[in-house]
Amino acid sequence: MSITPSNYQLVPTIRKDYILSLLKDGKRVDGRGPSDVRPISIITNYVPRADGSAYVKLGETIVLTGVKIEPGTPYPDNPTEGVLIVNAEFVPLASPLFEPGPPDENAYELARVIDRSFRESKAINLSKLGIVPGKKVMVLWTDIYVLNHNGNLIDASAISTLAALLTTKVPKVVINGEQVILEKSSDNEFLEVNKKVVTATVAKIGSYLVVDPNDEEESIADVRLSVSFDERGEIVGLQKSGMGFITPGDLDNMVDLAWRAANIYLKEINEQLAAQLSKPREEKEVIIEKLPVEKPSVDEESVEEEQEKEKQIED
Amino acid sequence: MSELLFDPSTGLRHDGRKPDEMRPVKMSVGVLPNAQGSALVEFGKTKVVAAVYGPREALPRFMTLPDRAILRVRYHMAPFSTKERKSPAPSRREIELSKVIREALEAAVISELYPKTTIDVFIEVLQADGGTRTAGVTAASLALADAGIPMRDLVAGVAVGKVGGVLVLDIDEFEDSKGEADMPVAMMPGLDKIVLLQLNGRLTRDEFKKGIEMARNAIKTIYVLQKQALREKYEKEGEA
Amino acid sequence: METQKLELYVQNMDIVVPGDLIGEGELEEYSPYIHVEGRKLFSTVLGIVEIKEGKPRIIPLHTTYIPQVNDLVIGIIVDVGHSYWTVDINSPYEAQLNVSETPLKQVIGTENLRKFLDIGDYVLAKIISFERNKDPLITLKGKDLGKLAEGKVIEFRSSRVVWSILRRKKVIDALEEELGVSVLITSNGRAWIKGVSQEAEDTAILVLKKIDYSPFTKLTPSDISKLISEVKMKGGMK
Repeated sequence: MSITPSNYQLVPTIRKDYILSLLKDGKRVDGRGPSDVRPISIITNYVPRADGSAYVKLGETIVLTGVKIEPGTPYPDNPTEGVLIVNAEFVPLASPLFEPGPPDENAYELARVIDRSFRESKAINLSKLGIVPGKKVMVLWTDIYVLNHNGNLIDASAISTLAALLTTKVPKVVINGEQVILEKSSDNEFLEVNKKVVTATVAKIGSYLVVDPNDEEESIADVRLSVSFDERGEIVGLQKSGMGFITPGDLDNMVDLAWRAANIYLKEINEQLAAQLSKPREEKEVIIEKLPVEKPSVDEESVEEEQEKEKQIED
Repeated sequence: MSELLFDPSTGLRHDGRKPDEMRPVKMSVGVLPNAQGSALVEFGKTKVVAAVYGPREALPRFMTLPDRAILRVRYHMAPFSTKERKSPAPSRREIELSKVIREALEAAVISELYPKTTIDVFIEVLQADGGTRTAGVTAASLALADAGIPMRDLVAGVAVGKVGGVLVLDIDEFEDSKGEADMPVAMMPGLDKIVLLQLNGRLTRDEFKKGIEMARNAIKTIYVLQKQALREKYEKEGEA
Repeated sequence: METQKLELYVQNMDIVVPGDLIGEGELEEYSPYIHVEGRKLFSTVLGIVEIKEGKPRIIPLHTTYIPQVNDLVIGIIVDVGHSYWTVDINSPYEAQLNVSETPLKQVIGTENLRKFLDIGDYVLAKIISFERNKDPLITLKGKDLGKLAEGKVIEFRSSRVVWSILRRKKVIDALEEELGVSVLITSNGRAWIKGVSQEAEDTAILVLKKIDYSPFTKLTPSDISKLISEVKMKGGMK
């Protein structure tokens, strides 16, 4: 059940008025203009044990995404394709507003928005991730870990997920009689990413539109629109969030602004990754799995199964 | 049985509809006697019922807000509503849709009138054939009106899709499974404000613009039907 | 040339639903049932339009009672505490009746309170305050206020009835005269009926219920007479 949030950060009216009067002059509290994005830094392979990872700072928002590739069962209608599963955790250390416990609706929403952007755009070449047709494929377990919440978790997570996937190395499949071995080493190929996808969020505060809202701006915004784009500018995802409304006129402007921010994100990713990809990585471990395969642990299976069923629920 | 998305000779959809044609829509208000307000909405085979309880005392007390009512919205699919039986436990999708629908209704409900209370909205999908969240928010808005909870406007919604490269209105499950995009839209039509918007799939900027227009026009028709359903209920009030 | 301050697109007795444009211009008094957007005025509920002296009002078909200070209410005791009672006033808010707001002096202790008012008892009370973060407070100190030991209490389903009847004193007078009952309708959608006989009370209740469930938009004393004879003939509600 979704409940009106009662633990939102109360921004004092004086502060809200100040923010609005600055916006009237086209300025924001941290000195940015409405279409300016905060400084971005990306560190790939931050968690060498993972098959891919990226630590991203968007202003003071910090998100770490890790990708682990494990064997799993394919979806019935795509028996030879790998599976992408995106999950998000808003860990309590990231913000006084995050409580320990199962993910809340915001975490689920974020994970699903990011997941859809990659899935619908067919950004990842999943067909190269089969192991045994119809029985075993590689599952890309993509976990988004929010480490510090200072607004705009969606965009930071989108950048971090793309950067992690772009630098994920795919294990080599070696079938040795009854055994299936996934060999992970730094010599392996990178995951094939057909196109780069990012998500950019625009917030509406009063009658003003701003990109990359920080924590404070987010809590006073009436509504946000997150737009996912591929490199060519095709829209591969949309999500309106917040309790306000968007006029048809706003809509056009918001998509335009989002595209501008998306371009900045893509530029940063291209530049920062180019430098990092040229560096060598260390040797990694080897996973051995035997056929016929044992059942995966309960948690993992239920998420996979659920995703399968959800694929069938057309809405 | 393999069905084609479009008939090559007529250009009509698999169920005979034109691209900009909606399925038959049925609405009735006040269907559940125990609830303060309720409504049943059907878009073709999609059947959704919504009930409103409240405003009522909110418990636990710490959840309430001092200056307005809280909304508690639950979007849920009955296990028998989908092709394959769905487990009754809330899925991640239902959690996301509950949030998205609640946020749409928050824009409409004048919650400041009932501080410290809760307004509970329960949406159950009885049969799913595409467009369940937009049918759900349409039904929820009728149920809120039936309960006498003041709103800035009714909320009406429909899902636009792209199938075989063609933009279509009121996409059903079959089309969604084979299509390239599914875009649910809901608005407060009298005020021309969008309160629910998502896209699952890919659209060019131009297709997006056209899709929104298609949705806007269809929503105006759904709005008229909603008002009719409410008036009918008023007239029926005479029957004891 | 004077511009019209208010232009109405609806007439008296029109049925409106949420989102209906009822007019354009300035509204003198705020109403939760009219939403203002720029110069446009919309209905926020399903109800009837009432126009008095050119000013529009919307009477909703159903509402929830929100306590207002000085309202007369009929309450039901739902809990007895050490020094106060908790009272249901047909609202999402439960009211509190402190011992100090009753004729009892210096009484403390649940057992003692119960001797005066117990769970299930009806009271006629007045709202004395409704502050943020506190439950509404009611009082029994006042003319005619107190425990309703005799008669019957009913609850109306439709708020519209409360409005339309409350304002037409002639209608209540007609009912009272013909049946020999006294009828008191309170702001929180309840009514107290006291008659010379059980039969008189029951007939009055049936008439009120009939009104509650019907689309009567305008009641006259002769309507009341008609209803009374209908009820008497049928010997019960349809």
